[in-house]
Amino acid sequence: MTKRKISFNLLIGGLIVGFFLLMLIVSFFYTPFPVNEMRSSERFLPPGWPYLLGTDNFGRDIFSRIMKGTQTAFFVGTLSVCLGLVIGAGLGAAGGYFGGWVDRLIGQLTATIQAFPGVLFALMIVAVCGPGTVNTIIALSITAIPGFTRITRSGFLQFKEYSFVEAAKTIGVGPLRIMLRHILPQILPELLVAASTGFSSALLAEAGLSYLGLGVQPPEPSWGRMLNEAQGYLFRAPWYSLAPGLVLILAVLGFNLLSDGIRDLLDPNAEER
Amino acid sequence: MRIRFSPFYLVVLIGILLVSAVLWRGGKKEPENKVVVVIPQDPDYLDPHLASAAGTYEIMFNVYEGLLKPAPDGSLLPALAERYTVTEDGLVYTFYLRPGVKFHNGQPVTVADVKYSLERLMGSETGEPLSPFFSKVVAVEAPDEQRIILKLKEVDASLLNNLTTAAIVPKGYRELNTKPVGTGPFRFVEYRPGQRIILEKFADYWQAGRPYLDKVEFRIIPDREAALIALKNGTVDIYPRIDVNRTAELGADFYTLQAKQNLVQVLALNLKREPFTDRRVRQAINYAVNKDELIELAAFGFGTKLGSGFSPAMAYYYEPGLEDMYPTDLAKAKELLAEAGYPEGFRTVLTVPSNYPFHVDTAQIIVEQLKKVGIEAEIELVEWAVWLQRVYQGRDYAMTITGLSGKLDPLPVLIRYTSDYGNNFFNYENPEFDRVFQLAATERDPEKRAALYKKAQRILAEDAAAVFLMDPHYIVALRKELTGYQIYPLYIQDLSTVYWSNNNSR
Amino acid sequence: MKMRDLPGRIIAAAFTLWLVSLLIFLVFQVLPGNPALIILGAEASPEQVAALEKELGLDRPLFLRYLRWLGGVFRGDLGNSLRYAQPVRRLMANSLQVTLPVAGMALFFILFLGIPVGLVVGKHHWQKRGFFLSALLQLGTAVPSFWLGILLTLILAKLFRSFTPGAFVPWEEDWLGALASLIPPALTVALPKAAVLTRYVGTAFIEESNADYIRTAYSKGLTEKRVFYRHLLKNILISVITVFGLMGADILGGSIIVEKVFALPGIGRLLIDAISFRDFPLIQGIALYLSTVVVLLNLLVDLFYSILDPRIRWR
Repeated sequence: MTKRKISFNLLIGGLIVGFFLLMLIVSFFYTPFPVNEMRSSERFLPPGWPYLLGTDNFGRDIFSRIMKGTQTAFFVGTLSVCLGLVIGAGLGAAGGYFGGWVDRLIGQLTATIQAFPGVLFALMIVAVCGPGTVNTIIALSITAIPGFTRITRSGFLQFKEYSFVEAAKTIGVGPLRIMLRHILPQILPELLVAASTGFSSALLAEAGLSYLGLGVQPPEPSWGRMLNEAQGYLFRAPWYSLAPGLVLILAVLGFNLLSDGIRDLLDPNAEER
Repeated sequence: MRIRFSPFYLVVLIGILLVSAVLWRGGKKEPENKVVVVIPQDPDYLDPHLASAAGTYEIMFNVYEGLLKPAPDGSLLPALAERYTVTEDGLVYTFYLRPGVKFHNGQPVTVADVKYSLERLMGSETGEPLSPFFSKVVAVEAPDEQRIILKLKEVDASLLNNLTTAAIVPKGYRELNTKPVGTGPFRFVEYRPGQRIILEKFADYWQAGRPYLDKVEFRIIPDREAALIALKNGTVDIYPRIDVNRTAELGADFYTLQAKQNLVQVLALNLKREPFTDRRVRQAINYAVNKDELIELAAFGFGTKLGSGFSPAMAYYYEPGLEDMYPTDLAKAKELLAEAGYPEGFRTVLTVPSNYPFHVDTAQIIVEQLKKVGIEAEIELVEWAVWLQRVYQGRDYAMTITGLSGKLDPLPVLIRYTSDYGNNFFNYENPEFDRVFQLAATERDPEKRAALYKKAQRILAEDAAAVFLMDPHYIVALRKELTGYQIYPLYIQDLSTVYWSNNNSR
Repeated sequence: MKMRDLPGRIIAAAFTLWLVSLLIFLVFQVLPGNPALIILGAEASPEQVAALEKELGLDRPLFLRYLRWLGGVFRGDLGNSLRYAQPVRRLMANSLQVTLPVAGMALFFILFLGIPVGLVVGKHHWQKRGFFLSALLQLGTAVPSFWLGILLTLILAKLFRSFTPGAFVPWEEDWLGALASLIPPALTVALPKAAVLTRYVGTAFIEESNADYIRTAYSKGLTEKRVFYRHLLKNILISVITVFGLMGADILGGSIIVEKVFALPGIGRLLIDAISFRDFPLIQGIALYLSTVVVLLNLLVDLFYSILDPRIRWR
């Protein structure tokens, strides 16, 4: 079973992600209509031509806005995952490698972050700093930290006992060098998989925050924000609610499949999970 | 392995869903002479002397009454005072208490209750007034069982209007905030935060025959979509301030009423901040903003264009024609900007409270309109809490959009632009305006007073003190069997005149 | 976990809860917004605002208010809400009347969808049917719950004229109606999470059925049914319990977003209100509840593990 399925996950995931990357790049140079241009005579047009996915309450082209929304989604996703990864992995490495009070301190820190369920922590941060793209990124990267910390820490706990690490220590290699050169590469694949999954949860979280009106601010198009605005016209223009939602699902699906694919590729013995 | 799992659970689940939906449908209440009104938020205080939110007044208008009461046309009706006299110099008001009026707890209303209520508002005992509107009253006297005399230190042309919101409550009653007791057509029964407020008919109401309804429920549904669905399926009967764009889908079971709601939606420019200190810049923005397009896009045409800080809902005081002072003219706008030293336009920030989707929509449209003359405005959404503290109180903003609600009287509306007023977040300072306003406040002749207020409006417009956008219409949707609903130029739901035309049933 | 570890764990959990409350307190130090001003609105005069500030005790330093709050917690008193002038406990109890039933039903749906379907997926994972199901599950895990909620609203409102999101009637008035109105939100919360659980169960099934002890059991000549119920199912359940515990914590916290979609007066909406009104005691109260749920469930999961499977020690 495994052989065919591995390539399937990777293939479909890669295709979807590739499609979004393409849309991302194109959106910098071309959208069918200017994203914020309003036409009072063309509001609430159903999908068709020339408005592929219809128009919204201001007569703006939904398809163009979804394209532009890719930029927002990828910007927030990439930055928050990178930040979360760097900080989380750093903390996890320190905790796992040094142990003792450092480990306990870091453990308490992540436990505190995790004691806030769901989007609550992000909500609090946005409440303090105010809504906006940058603050959304900060909020999402902080909530992403504990996951990366856990993975890195257990990796370091495991590998620091290994003979090649011991050997490096005895010949006088510094701790930072050991961590970066010897242990980190060992757990990199796992982190990569986590980052890919993290990216899709960041997409969902950004959409959720923006849906609550706390994330990305208008008139900047964001899929979640569009859903927020669309819900008011659910019965008048159902397509306005459906399109951004479907696009969001497709993107999340793509990254999930990709992360499964990478996992299978790196570790052929692991089962689909 | 031969173990079989059928996903019959899915079927079970769908079954539960269907059954529940059916049960739900069957669970309709028996006919009651009751009306459910949907409101978007909780009241701030049930104690009428502490409450200041408009959303509270609209509910409690049915529970509390003052010496006078507003009428739907904006005039004043006698309420707890059956009549009053004013001395020639305008400094002594004598009110004659309506006999036989009872509080909801059964006690009769006495002059002592009136004196207590007014003094509580004035802060006579505590030294801290609960209302700023009675600062000119020096004494409240109750010489006998019928008369209440108010003595003023100077003429206050707004006193009578302010008395409509000065609720009369039982003397010494301490539980106003949890168990309100008033004299209104309905008495308070229950308040569940975040859910509902229930009122019941007050059988001993002084206006014979009213109210018609036995029970009124204010259902708190913050979400506009949910409120609309609740209206459509019969959970609620009256939906005040329904979104203009949704009235089309209501169907034959409903009808709508609309009127100017005496609200000034304004794009405020911080007059102490560059470049808005320059009148030419402000005029340029006025020329650049296309109010007709705005009304079409944001309000679906249901709005009245404004030209100054006053709504035509109060026609007697309204100065017509100002709305055409700055017709949309991009060339003129650019010219003025160039004159002021901004030929390329400028960048600025438009701060908008995020809890008002209507203002957020307006902001998006204005940003697009200003772009055409080179002004790049970035929208900054802030929480209501932050808006109040930073923009409204702290006056730390460049541009903002808000709605200023009107009163029966021009004074509280136009006082916002006087230079020493605490909440003058426009930072508007114009000695001429202040002078005209002062004259109007102490003018006892109604015609002269109206003329002065009109002049004040003209000054605001000429100065381009702000961009006065529109009075978005008040639209209310009701079930077609409901009759007698009256629209006020105030933030009020008056249910005392509402009744079911089909024999008290729903 | 050995039982003697328990007191230490409980102390650590309490410490975490205290840290959370301290963190919120610190957040409030820098948070702009004046509760008195928000309660009274833009129409209020500066004098009214000042009077209310005094009445609410806002003129006292926040640090003192925090200490008083903390003292109250030890006496089981969460204080009074600034916004509603009612005990925080009563407000929370009202909201939990909505949140807890939704959570309960959602957990029920997750279990009764996730486990059986997961077993089917695991059993047939190499066949077309299994493949189709897991593709569906992939899709399911990708659906944001609020969008699912919007979709459900659309469908239900088209199907049943009487459907009202947010038309939550109090239990004592019409418990059947109340229950019915909570089913769509419960489903909205449950479906994406059920998809996640299903995938876990499926994976566990595949892993466990290839395990040595199962082969041993078969070689002993046990029947398929017996092997399944006595060995396989138990081990699968053990391996999914962590996931389920985490989901429980998430769900009991009330999905803020789903409550918004259906306009339900639950704990999530209460929290958003409390934040926007800067209602310090109410926020602290709700946060205490939410973090207690999370911490407690983590503790329970660990405890459960050690009872079910003595080999497993602390992670």
